[in-house]
Amino acid sequence: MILSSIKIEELLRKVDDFPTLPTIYNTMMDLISNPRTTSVELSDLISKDQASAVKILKAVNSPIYGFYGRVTSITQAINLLGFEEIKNLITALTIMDIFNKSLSDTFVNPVDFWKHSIAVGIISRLIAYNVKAQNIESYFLSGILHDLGKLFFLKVIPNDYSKVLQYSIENKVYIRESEMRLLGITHTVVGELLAEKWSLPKDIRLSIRHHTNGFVNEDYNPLVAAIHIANVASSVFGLGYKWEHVIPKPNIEIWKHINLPTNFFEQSIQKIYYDYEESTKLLLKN
Amino acid sequence: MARSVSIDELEIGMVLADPIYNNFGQILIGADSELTQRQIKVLKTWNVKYINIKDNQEEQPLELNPELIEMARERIRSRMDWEPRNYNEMDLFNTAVEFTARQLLNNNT
Repeated sequence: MILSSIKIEELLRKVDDFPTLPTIYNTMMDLISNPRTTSVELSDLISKDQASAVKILKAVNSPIYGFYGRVTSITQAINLLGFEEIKNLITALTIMDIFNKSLSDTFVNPVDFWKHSIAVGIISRLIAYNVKAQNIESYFLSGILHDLGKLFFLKVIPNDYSKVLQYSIENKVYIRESEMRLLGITHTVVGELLAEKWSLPKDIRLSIRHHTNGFVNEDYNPLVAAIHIANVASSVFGLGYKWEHVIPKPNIEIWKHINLPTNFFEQSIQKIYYDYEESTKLLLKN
Repeated sequence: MARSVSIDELEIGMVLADPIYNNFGQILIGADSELTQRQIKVLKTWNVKYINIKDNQEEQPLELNPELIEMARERIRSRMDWEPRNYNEMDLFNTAVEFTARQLLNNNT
């Protein structure tokens, strides 16, 4: 059964037509990627956008970064976190803002999606610390954005997509399977297209596209692998979804590469839950 | 356990879990100090938003009974079409069972 009302070409066109990221975001990104930019210049620009400035301070003082109330100015935040991390944070906040605003009139609650994504971000970052990964700052953002395609579906085809979600619960199949059956295209493919359109970093595009399998085609990628495991874990722990969805089966080959201690979850669950509660409160409060 | 408390919810006598620093990294108020009215006022003027406070209630893990654990296990199993196959997956599954059981317990109390 394919939902007759919707065609793949139409969905792809909706990706093309989807809004670009705000101008202020692009201005910030340009400034950040210029090696001659000083933290004062960047701080001046961010401070002009009051809403962003407040959100950045909130996030920096949350358990995500662990500076608990110590960071009181944007300049300080930039100096502590570094340009790369500030860039990721601005990207996450910008995209969350787009979907939070636009989804509030649909009956599927986007907050549940974000909660799951925040859980995946927190768990992948912990995995990164544990295996001493490189570019740790990408992990939280990649986790936050791994289900971008689902948010896109909810935004552009809210009614059809609730049928997809319903179908996967009733038939106990993965969401990507009901997407294939009812839409003919999955959130991983559409999410990657949107990430390309927004010129998000390559690592993030890869984790959006390949988090359900864990490998990038045949190749092992530590970031994608961590998102894969974190996605399974947040589902087993029931963090973020209200409905009774099927828990994805981990790709067994991933464990051999990722090398997590065999008591990692037992050791980390308290921290995961604490960070999750605090971060969802801070990031999802309007 | 420490918890993060908004500046508006601070009360006199709460115990700081972490020290408070100024912009130069110097400690202004040390960890373990009990907050005074004056300090709370000063924190507000510094525009501090959140502070880590020590929980005065000692964490008392409530007893989990076997039925609760069984209920949690079933709840997770009903959403799984696979069995844990190695130590990592067993760690994940067992941790989730205990975590879910605790949540069931907390929701009932």
